[in-house]
Amino acid sequence: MGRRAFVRTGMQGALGIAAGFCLPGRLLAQAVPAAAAQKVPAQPDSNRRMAELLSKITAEGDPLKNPFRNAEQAQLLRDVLAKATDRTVILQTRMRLAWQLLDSGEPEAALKEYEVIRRRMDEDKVPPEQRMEPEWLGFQAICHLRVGEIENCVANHNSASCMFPIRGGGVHTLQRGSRAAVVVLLELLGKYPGDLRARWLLNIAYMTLGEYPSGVPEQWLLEPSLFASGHDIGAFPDVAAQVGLDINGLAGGLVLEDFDGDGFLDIMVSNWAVDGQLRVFRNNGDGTFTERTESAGLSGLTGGLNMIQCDYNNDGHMDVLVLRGAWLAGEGKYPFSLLRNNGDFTFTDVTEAAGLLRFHPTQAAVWFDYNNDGWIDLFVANESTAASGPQGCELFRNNGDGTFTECAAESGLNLNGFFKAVVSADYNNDGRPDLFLSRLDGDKMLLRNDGPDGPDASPRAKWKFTNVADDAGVTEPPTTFTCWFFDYNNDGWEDIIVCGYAIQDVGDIAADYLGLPYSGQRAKLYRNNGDGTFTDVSHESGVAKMLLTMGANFGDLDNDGWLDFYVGTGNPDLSVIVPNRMFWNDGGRRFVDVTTSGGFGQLQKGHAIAFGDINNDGTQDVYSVVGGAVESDKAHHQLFRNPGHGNNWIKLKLEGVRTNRAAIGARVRVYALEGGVERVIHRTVCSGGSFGATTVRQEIGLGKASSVRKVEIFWPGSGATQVLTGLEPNAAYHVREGGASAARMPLRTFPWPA
Amino acid sequence: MKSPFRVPRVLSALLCLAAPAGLAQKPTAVPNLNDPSSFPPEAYAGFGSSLGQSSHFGELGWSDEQVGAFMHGMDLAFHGKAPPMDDESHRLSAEFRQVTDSLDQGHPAKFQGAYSPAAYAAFGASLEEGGHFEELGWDDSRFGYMLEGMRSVFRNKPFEVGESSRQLSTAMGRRLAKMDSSVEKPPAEFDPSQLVPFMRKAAKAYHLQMSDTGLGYNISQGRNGIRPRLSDTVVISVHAQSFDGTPLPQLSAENARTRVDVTLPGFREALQMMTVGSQGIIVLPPALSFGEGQWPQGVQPGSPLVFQIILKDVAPAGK
Repeated sequence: MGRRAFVRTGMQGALGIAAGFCLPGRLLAQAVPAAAAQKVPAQPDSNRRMAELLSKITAEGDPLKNPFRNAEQAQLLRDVLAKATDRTVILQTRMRLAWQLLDSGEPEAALKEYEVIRRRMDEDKVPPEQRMEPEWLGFQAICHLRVGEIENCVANHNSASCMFPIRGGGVHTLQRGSRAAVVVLLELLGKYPGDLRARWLLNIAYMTLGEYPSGVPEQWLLEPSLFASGHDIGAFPDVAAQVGLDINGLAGGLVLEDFDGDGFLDIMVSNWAVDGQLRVFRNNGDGTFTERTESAGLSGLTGGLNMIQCDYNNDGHMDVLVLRGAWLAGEGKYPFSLLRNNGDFTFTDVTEAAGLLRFHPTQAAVWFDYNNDGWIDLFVANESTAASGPQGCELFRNNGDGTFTECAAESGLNLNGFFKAVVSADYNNDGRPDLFLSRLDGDKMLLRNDGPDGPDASPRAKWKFTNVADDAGVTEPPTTFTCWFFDYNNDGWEDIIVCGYAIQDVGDIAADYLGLPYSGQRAKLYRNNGDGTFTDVSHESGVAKMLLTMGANFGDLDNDGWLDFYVGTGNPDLSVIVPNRMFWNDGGRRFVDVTTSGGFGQLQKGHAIAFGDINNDGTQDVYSVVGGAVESDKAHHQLFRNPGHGNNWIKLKLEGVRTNRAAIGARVRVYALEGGVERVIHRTVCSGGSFGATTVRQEIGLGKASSVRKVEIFWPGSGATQVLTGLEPNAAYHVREGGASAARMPLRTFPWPA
Repeated sequence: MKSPFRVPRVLSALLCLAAPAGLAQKPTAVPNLNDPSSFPPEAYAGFGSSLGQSSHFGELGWSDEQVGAFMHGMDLAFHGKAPPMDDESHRLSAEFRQVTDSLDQGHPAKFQGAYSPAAYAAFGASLEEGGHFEELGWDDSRFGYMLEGMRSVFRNKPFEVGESSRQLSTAMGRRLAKMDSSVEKPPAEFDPSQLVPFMRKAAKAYHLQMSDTGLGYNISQGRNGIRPRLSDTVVISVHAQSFDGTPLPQLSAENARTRVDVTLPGFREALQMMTVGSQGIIVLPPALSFGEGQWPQGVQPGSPLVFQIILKDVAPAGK
């Protein structure tokens, strides 16, 4: 079958790659709704220059090296076929063409191509053992399933579409795709009964037909009990379409933040395609969002698999960093964009002016004030592969005047690796933010911030970081994607989750549910021991699961004061149909899968995720960017509305003075009385997450606590701990570093649309 | 701990092929076989060509870009910067092995896969590591001559394999023999208290994951979704070694047919993780191999065992 079998991993096909091409005019046409009749302010010159630069890089790239430019590759293969005379070459080319047709959104044409291949094999009397029957049966099944997915989940989308376990409105009304898939999958299983990927897909196909579980032959049934939640978190309905966020796109990043200071969280999303327009939506505070992409000055700013936010210039407005080039190896040498928030819902691309114009493939960066000088710095973890050559990581020190100085080498941080995530926290509570790096190609890195490396202790001094991952016991697993720091057990020490990103095939997901062995790489939870080491508690905590995580984030679904997490899953392969998964934190002891009870099991590809209280009712909602990598794998984003759980909460908007203004790195301890017993809830302000950016505003669940005895905030810029008393539950406060008290912030709320 | 299995040892095998047995018996006095500098550049180029010819480089049909990536990977590995093997490069490796095996046996075979440059680079690096060139004391230029010799085979214009090249082959063959003999010493006693540190060290060296049962495994992606069930019969190739690296031929086999449920507990678990075409390294603590039972002759009772395993086929039960 040439280079591809039934299943590919996320890494496959992503190395060696390039970009496509699209003119800004086309981007504009895609991005701006026709109804937008308001006067549009002139786009800043720097934004236009960046748009032109992106377009130029794309145009100069080699589309033939980009496995995600599927339609172009299909055309190329057709050109080869038109000239080829050698039967072997023709057969091989047709095989490749069939796959490209599938990925480019023509599954039926792919099936026709397969029929031609089959006839050719008959004519050439290819012996049975060389006909790769299981691979081709699998291929047919995927094609049929894609027909069903495109006709139903995409073209006739509703909030139940592709939600695992599929039922109700998710059942396909146009059933020809899934019907045909069932026939092929049953044939496959009849011949190869150990094929777990076929068994998994068969059960999903029956779900789409509304015939699960009763219609599934007993020997292939995956019992519904396997997917039952261990805790009823209550249904979180997807209201994206109702509130004006009906976004249909490919993989991308997400920032959930209050960009205009009106107290409501707005949304910015990227689309990783080289012609994918960056989009921003303003929360109108009434249950609707309005797209402001053009008026915000973002037209033509394309691509970007991930984004993070911060206030780099301490002006009180949250800025955004758009990270580009991920997975594209040598062809991914795009700049990132630093978008300065002007406070009026416009953004200016200040990448070049800030001294940040560089060209490396990346999706991983973190804002952290490593020298605690009150100006937030930036670490970027790039993707070094054999195809890309060395793409050293970068440390940009904030000069405090709107510019940055790159200084990775002097601190030993110009690391090379296939890095997919970087996060920061003060894991050893020494007051200095450390780094944790996740990579696809080996040991994780925990870079302890040891402070100035020499007698010069000024912010511009040479800085020392030491990789202590080995001694700390946090190097595993070998192939990982997203990760994050959080204090899951509220003991005041930052713990780590790092998610595996390798599978044999989608059968590993079935194996995980069935309790069978599998080779895919599980997620790890490392509990901080408070002495510089961590303990792997993945198994006892319920985290050691086959998740295949890409995007992820954490928050508090039920305001019980314990942090939960949600993962977006999958890989570029269209057969890897995996549900996104939500895990509820059971009192810091274990995590319980609540995917089914909450209605979070999106089967299409899951990318950036963020938690945030969209309607200011005190409960965190969840936004999920859905959509895959290959050209045809577009899907609808989701906004899960929190139904509420009757618990109390407190919101804190922190403002640093000697600490960076967004307070990134600040530590919050809430002492609350719950049932007459004092409990301490710990939170840390971070720059959003490693794939998907949650607001820096602290939205803290208090459980049943009826009063807050005090709140302590450790400000790393000053090293001081501020103690606040008199704060009430179910209220929002603005806290300025060093201030005598917290100022109550009136936040308007709104009901969700019915 | 240097992994003998993380990368294929194809090149080691090639080196043995490249060193004619007769010559190995009759080394000449000049040049000095222990002194790389005493060999002229053409010896290295010819030696590279002989390696390339032995492994049918000229019949693979790789493009210039693929060859370039492959060579780049070898060069990176020579300088200690080997890019790691991933699933894709493992598949490339498997196909390379299949194709060259067929060609060795005189059967026509074509390299059909199209892999990313990164895969070729990682594969090239793995071959370099398998050959341990970086440990030979060669300088950059000598290694470069050898690479050029290999490259010439891809272009179907190989360098002549002259006397000096054959002598260099002999030196390499001797060196490999010495390395092999160094691991054929009787296995040392295994201290049971060292099991946990050993497994930890092995996990690091082989990039293993650990299952709930204590099995250490690193398994590559197979070529299709066909997995064995406990009741199925499988065809596997297994190469075993003891905890100290001693080969264990009594536990090794090529193309062995067996039901999954009659294998060692660690095998039962590992085989269910694989699909046809998967390769893997598994490390079995004693509880998952022979446990309290009878241990085979020559295998240290109570010691952990390391296996390289390839799943070649699955015959479903009842078929």
